[in-house]
Amino acid sequence: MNKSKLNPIQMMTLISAGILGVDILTVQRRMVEKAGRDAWISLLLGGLLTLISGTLSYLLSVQYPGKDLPEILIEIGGRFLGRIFLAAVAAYILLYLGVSIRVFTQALLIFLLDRTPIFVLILFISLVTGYAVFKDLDTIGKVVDILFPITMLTVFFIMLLALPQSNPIRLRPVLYHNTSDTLKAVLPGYQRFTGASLILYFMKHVRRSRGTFLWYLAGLVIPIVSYAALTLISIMVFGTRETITQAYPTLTLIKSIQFPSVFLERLESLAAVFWIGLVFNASTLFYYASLRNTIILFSIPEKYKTYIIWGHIALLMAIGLSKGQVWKAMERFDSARLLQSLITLVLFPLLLGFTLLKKRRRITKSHESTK
Amino acid sequence: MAVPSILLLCIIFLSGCWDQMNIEQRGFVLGVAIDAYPPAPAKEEGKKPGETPPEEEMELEIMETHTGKPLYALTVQLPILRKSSQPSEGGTSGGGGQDSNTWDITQIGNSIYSMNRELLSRTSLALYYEHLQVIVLSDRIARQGIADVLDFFTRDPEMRRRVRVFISKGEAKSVLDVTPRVEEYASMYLSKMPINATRNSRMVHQTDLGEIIIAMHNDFSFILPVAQSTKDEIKISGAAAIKGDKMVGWVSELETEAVKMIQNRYLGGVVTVSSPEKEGAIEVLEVTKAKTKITPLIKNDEITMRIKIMAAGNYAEHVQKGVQNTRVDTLIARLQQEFEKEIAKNCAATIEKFQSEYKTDVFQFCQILQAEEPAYWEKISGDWEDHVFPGMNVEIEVDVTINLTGSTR
Repeated sequence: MNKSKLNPIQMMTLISAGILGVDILTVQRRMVEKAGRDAWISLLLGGLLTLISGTLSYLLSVQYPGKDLPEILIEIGGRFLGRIFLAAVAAYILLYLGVSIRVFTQALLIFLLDRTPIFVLILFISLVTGYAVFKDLDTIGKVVDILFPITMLTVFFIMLLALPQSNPIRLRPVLYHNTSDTLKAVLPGYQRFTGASLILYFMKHVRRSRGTFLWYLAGLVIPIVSYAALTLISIMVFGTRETITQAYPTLTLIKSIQFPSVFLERLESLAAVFWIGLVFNASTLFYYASLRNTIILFSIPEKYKTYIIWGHIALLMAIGLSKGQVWKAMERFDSARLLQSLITLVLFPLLLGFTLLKKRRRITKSHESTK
Repeated sequence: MAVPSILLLCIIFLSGCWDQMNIEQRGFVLGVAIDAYPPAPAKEEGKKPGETPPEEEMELEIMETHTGKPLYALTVQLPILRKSSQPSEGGTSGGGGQDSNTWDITQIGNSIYSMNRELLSRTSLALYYEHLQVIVLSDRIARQGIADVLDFFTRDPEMRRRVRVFISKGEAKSVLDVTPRVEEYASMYLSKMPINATRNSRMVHQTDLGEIIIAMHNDFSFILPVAQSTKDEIKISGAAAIKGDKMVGWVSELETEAVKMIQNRYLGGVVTVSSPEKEGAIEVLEVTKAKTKITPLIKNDEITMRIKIMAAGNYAEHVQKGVQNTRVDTLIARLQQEFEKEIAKNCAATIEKFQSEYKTDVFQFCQILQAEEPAYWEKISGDWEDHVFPGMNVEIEVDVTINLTGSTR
């Protein structure tokens, strides 16, 4: 494993890049389906929950310096129970990775490469992300540092250009007879920020600094604000009824941007090029996490990493190509997210509580023995 | 050995491009016209007898359908690129004839998608819609319902939401058949005209496919611009009122102006009034800016829409006053009042027409009610256009400011 360290500021780019994956294409539809015109409020509340659970994940990682999540799970749970926890985490991350690649390739097929066979697209993304993972986290960090500002600028630029088409009246009345649905949608909103817990994989490689936590929080706030703003603008442009009929509302939003003269006619194709970078970032980070999970789960020596990467490509192809329909894939995506909620909202706080309790007992015992 | 083999396979299978298509193989569709089939009798469609296509042409146009009878005649306009790049003699020509810059090819069937595919059996080009500029629907199609014919254009990823949609009085194909004098293609000519909406308020300008889809999904009524054509000219003349997805009637140019002003979509235009000074004389105001605020007021379950219009502009002309020695700036206050009265009168008459004649809320007052009086809206939403909107009271307040009087005082 490469010994070079990540800068604390890279926590911001890595975490943001990990969260802003394929969801950026569909977040509005999935939230509006659940909370109507108040979907942006659910997303903000889900974001608040993400900040809390992210803080807990950060605290958990701080308790185990030099260890990442798979190692922490084995240390806390022992060889048997720890492996059960790890298996759940590994299954979720692999499923999330496979399905998100599938959903993204489907969008590429519809809007950009309509004749390219889907297996070629999945294979290509798996190969490129696999190569980045092979080069290790240091290289991934550098690639993300280059791609992240470009993709964020694109997102910001698109929201800004779509503003003249928007009509704020479509957001009103706010929370009218909709409070219950808005609150029910907080958990699905939280599930849009899946990558928040990736901190548990990266902290081991970060140079110790006081600012790390703040950079991590910034990394959470960027996608929370981006998703809420994107949802807000989509509702203002399309209204709720049209938003839920769109397969990829963000791409439709780009298509609805108007200029008084003939300019940037194929903006959606240009933007799709940047989305590739965005999904590449998120996929690489989850690929890395999945690789670490597999290595620790099966106690595989680091020197066999290449074979695990090749194995992952086969698995990603299998997940991506299983049952042709994209809508089915999206349903599987949501099942994967339920597992994620259980892990980050139940398992991690329990593990943190257990660790802190254990630490306290150890301190009390050592105090007693010194007395 | 395994790695080089995999790399070799990747080079073979992942290089090149499945989606590659040479530009000369693409048939860039610039405009689409959709007419109802079978066509109405020649007189009704504005055709002279004998203008119907020859029998052999009709044979090519009608396609075999899996189910149902042919319902639509789809015409697509393709530019003949080689021809358009050559310098034309004696002006440009378009319209699908022998000397035309375009090929207007018609297919008859009952689904736009299948007609589109059937067209491929008549051209060596692959039809490409990414540069589609306009969709023209005949008034017969509009009266039958536009949702069915627009579904293809909203679903297909090739389409852009900025495509402009027009309703034609009579045959839609005839609009594409125009031979424009300045532009090269009728579709481009038509699509560029709404740019003038900043100076001519009688044209509906925000009518792209995206706007229509949003309105239809939200159950809002709306207006679409009407295109009328001669052999070499197209005029955007008033609008068609659409309720649900069906056309309910025509909207005159002055009414279109009022609808735009009430909807707060007025970009600029001209208002004329009778002179307060001399009988028979006319005063002209160029409106450069207009802003409208609508407030719903509910009292005893009775609704009143308070519409406040603030318009600003320049005094532009006086007609039939003769040589005038009175300075216009001394008449500003009176002129402002006259313009205010005229705008209010036009708006009130237009609302009244939509209330009593069409029972169609193209002003989208319902959206304001929904946002500002949700409890009331819940009670009346099912009855809005048929019962509540026609009986709704309207209060119009107009405030006109004349800023400039030109280069004379």
